[in-house]
This record gives sequence, structure tokens and C-alpha cells, in this order.
Amino acid sequence: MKEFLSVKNLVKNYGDFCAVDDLSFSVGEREIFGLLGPNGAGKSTTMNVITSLCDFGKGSVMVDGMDIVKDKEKARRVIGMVPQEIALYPFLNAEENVKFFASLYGLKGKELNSAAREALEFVGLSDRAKMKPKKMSGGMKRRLNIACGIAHHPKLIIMDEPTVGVDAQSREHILGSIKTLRERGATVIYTSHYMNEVEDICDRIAIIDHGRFVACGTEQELISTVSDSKVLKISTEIRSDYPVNELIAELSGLPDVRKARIDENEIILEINASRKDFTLFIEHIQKHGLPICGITSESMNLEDVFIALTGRELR
Amino acid sequence: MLRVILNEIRSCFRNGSTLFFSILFPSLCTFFLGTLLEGIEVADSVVGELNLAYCIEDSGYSAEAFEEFILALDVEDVVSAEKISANELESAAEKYSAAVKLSGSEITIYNGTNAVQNRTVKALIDGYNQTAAAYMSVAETNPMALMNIELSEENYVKPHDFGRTRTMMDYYAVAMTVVIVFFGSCIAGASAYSDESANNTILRLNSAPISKTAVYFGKIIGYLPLVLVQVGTVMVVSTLFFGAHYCSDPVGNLMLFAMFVCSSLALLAVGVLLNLLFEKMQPWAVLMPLLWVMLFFSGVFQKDIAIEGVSDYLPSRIILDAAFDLTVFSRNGKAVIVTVWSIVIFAALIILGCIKVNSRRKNA
Repeated sequence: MKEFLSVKNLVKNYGDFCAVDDLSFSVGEREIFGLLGPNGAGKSTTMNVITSLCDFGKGSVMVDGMDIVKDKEKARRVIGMVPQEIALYPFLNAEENVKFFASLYGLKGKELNSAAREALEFVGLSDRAKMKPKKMSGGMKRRLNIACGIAHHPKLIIMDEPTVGVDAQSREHILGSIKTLRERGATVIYTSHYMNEVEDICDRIAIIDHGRFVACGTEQELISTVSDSKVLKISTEIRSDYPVNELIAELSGLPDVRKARIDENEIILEINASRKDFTLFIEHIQKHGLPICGITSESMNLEDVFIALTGRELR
Repeated sequence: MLRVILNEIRSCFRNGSTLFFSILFPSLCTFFLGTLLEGIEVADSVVGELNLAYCIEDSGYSAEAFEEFILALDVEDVVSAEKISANELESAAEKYSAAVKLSGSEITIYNGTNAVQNRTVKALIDGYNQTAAAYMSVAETNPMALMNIELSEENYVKPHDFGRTRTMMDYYAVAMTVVIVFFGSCIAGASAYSDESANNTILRLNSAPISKTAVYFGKIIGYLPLVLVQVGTVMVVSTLFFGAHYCSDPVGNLMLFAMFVCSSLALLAVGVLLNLLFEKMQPWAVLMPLLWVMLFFSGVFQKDIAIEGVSDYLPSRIILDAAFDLTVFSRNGKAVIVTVWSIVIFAALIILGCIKVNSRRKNA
């Protein structure tokens, strides 16, 4: 995957406070990269640096091969920003808002009209093009906020909590839109306080705390940094005279099984987290003449990982 | 930059509160204050047409001066003057409003039957006496000064139409235009960036591939139509709908309009610079009271209120004086000075604002 964004040794201080401390990471083309962190961790500062909303002390940021300091204007042209706050003009209608912000990126005439129309259609607001933001619901404003950030067809889209305060329907629409943007060729950096959103749409996730990356990788990679095992619970019916020790010994010897035990009518296996196929275990249990009543797999989720790594809950 | 300008214009003219406070409110204020206070200048009694008789029992400079004064009163069918002989003086009261006689250095008034007209004639003669006394005083102490007088606009007060056609509405039309110049422009300028911050649109502007200077100029130029419309509307509405008078000639009115527009631009630049210097400032909360105090002590709301040694130097007083000089006396000297200084201040503040905008630390 081609590297689209590269951040190297980024340092940003506010007086004595170090908001971003020697941060380095890269984001590939067409990747959805999630940035997670507690409040004040440095994720907004990192995003502000990338969008050149804020200066930085040391390091370098390259977007599509362009230095955001030396080639500021060119780099800005390929970036689209969807801020956490609703950033719209109250006296302009939806179409005018989209057109104005897209025009700042050099779009004009028919190209501008078609870009605005396309952006509004993309966020499902075509029928509200003439409506002013103050008359819109929270979800509609959020979608318009996105339309204003993507109308100029940016290659890199920075989305800072774009689903805050929206209803489930709008959230689904927004998340679906982000996946579509990636399919169309955009690279997305996404922050959210909703862990399930990040799990759902991000290819890779970075957990940031105190201005540094605590962990970075795919969801599974992050989980494995904290724990590389998961628990498989298989419900069955075990007679009281059944030789359970024999079964436990046999299951313990199977590949990827770290530990096996039986708790009443439940066989509990601690297996390697990477193990996806449970057929082997089921076949062995059935060979012993035990029925399979149910199977549950419990593994750590992103939230557990986050708490384990930062010692804090996300919100 | 053009996009920013157009956006600014569109935002200005779609903002109901801006339109109300910048355009409609001052026009209505002109009407209400002018109408309410017009009652103050209604006379208790009407003087009516003054039919004056005069008799001069002397010759020489003082006789000539007195006759010239009497004849100068005979204008526009308000005062008529007729020369009579000394014999007719005793019976003059029957035929004339009053009669006056100059004999040597003495002026005698022969009252008529109308007390109001008698007081009016006395006031006129008192005025003449005071002027003559002042002239004599100068003649005795510094006669050369009288010889060197040049009859130019600067040292010779030319009453235009003051006191005859002017009303309180005229005063408030000019005063309210000054008020709108200060409030409309200064507060609009001071909201230029804080509105963007309040809407969070500043984030998008600052991250777009457009220079800060372009945004700054776009915002300033974008306010220009509002400035033109607000000054123009107050002048036109108060003239056409409420019968106010500004200058009697079109050139004077154009000069007045130009002066107000240039002053507005300078104040707009002051507002924008203040907004850049004090980003968290609430214009309505901070500037509004300050402007009210300044305008109050400038005599904008009441002509007589002033602080000696201070009021004369307040910008609002300087603009007001220049405006009255132009409208009442048709003198354009002060208006030109105010216009030129406004342009100079505007240019200087624009440069300062530009420097400030580009030196702002980016810690968003």
C-alpha cells in the first residue's frame, strides 16, 4: 500500500505543556486510520497540525509527497477537513455553504455546481439544498458538515468525531459514507469516542496518550498486545460418571489450546487469540459422545485494550 | 479573495440583526427623535410679517451703516422696511409694526400695538447695537485689523438657511448618521473574526488553500457595500420619508456622503483590528457602552452636553462638526480634512491588521 501521509518525530508544545511528543506514523493510500485517545491525549492537536491549523515545533508532515510547511498551499488542496464542531454559515443555505467552501479550493463554474450537487447527494441532503443550517436537525447539520469537507474531492479526509450527537440512522449513514469515500480512493483519518465505530470502519487504529502512541495496528494486533488468548465456552451435557479428566487431557493436547477445564456442563478452553477455526475442538468433543448445545467465544475488545493501555476509559 | 468578498456581502445582507441595527433602526430613530423633539422649537407666539418704518436724522458712516442694516432685513416678505420722515414718527404706530429713529448715536424705537413684534424689533436693534459696539471696540484698539479683513468663508459667517427651514429632524438626521457610522461600522468590524469563530467557520478558512491576507482583505472589502448602503439609506430615507434636510446642493451632499463613507471605513478597520487584538472580545458588550459614552459627550444626542477640553477632540464630535459645517454653512473645509484623515487612518489600520493577521500564532 502506497504511503499517503507520513508524520515523523512530530513535537508540539503549548508553553511548557507537550501536547504531541515525538509522534511518528504513516497512513497508506485508501486506508481508514483511526485515532483513539482520552481527552487531552493529543489527537486533535495532531489533526490540527496535519490540516495546518496549528504550527508545530519539530518533525515533519508529508501529505501525498508534499511537505505541509514548504508546499502548504498544494498540500492543503488535497486535504478535506470535517471538524468536530459544526462549521457552517447560518445565513447561507446548504448548497451555498458547500459551494463556498469548495470554491476556496479553486473549484468554479460548472465544476463547482456539480461538486456541490454531488456532495449533497452523497450525504443524502439533495432535497434540502435550499435549507439553512439553523432549520436542520443535528444529524442533518453533521451530514452537511461532512459535505462541506469533501465537496472538493480531497485525497485525505480528516474527520474529527463526525458522529457526535447524531441519531442512529444518521450515524449509520455517515459511517457508510466514510467507507464509500475510501472505495472512491480517499484516505481517511478518523477519531471518535465511539469504540464500535472505530472497530467497524478503521483498517488500523492508533491509541494515543500523553502525546505519544501507546499502540498502533489492526484491531487484532492491538488486542494481541494486551492479551494473545481468548476463551471458548462450549455448552454440553455431561453425565456425573463421565471421565472428565480424560477429556480435559485430550483437549489440552490439541493445537492452540493453552488450558482446558470443565465447569458443570460447560467445557472452557483458553486458546490462542489467532485461532479462528474451532472445528477441531468440536469434533473431539463429539467423538466422546457429548452433544454440542452452544458455543461462545469471548475475547478482549478494543475498549478493554484501551483501558488496559491508558488506564482510563475513553469517555 | 473574490469568494470571501461575495460570501461576506451575502452574510451581511442576510443577517436580520445587522440589517435592523445598521439600516432600519437609525432611520426610525431619526424619525422618532426628530418628530418628538420638534415640539421644542414651536414658538409660543407668532411674530408674523414685520412692517418696519425708519427715520434717519443724520448723515455719514453711522447713518449709512444703519440704513444698510435696516434694508438688509427686508428680505423674503418677512420684514419690510420703509423710510419715513421725523414728522410721521408719532403716528407710525397706526400704520407700521414699529418705527426706529437714528439721531446722532442714539436709536429710538417707537413701539407698535403688537407686543411680540415690538420685542422682535428691540431684539433686532439690540443685535445691531452689539455688533456696532464690537466694531467700535476693534476700531479703537486695533484699527489695522479692520483694514486687513478679507471677506472669505473662513472669517465671514455666511448664514445659509439656518433658523428658517431647519428643524430638529435635520439635526437628528445628521446626528443619527454619525451614530450609525460609529455603531454600524465599528461593531460590524469588531465582529468580523469573532463571528467566524462563533460559527467555527474560521477552522475551514484557516485550513483552506487561501492566504490569511486574502481572507482579511475579503472581509474588509465585503463590508464596503454594507457601509455604503447603511449611510445611503439613513440619508435617503430621512430625506424622502421624514423630510430631513442635509446640504442644499448635490455636491455638498456627495461630499457629506463621501465623508461618512470614509469615516465608516476607518471605523470598520478600527473594529477589525480590535477584533484581531482581542479575540475573545464581545463587541456588543465592550464597544457598545464605550461608543455610547463617546457619542453622548460629543453632543450627538444633545447639542449642549460636552466636557470642556475633551469633547472637541472626540472623533464623533469632529465628524459631527464637519457635517454641520457642511450642511448648515455650506463650508466644506472640515469635511475634506475628516475625509482625508479617514482615508489615511483606514490605510494605516489596514496595514497594521495585515501584519497582525499574518503574525498570529497558530495554536488552534
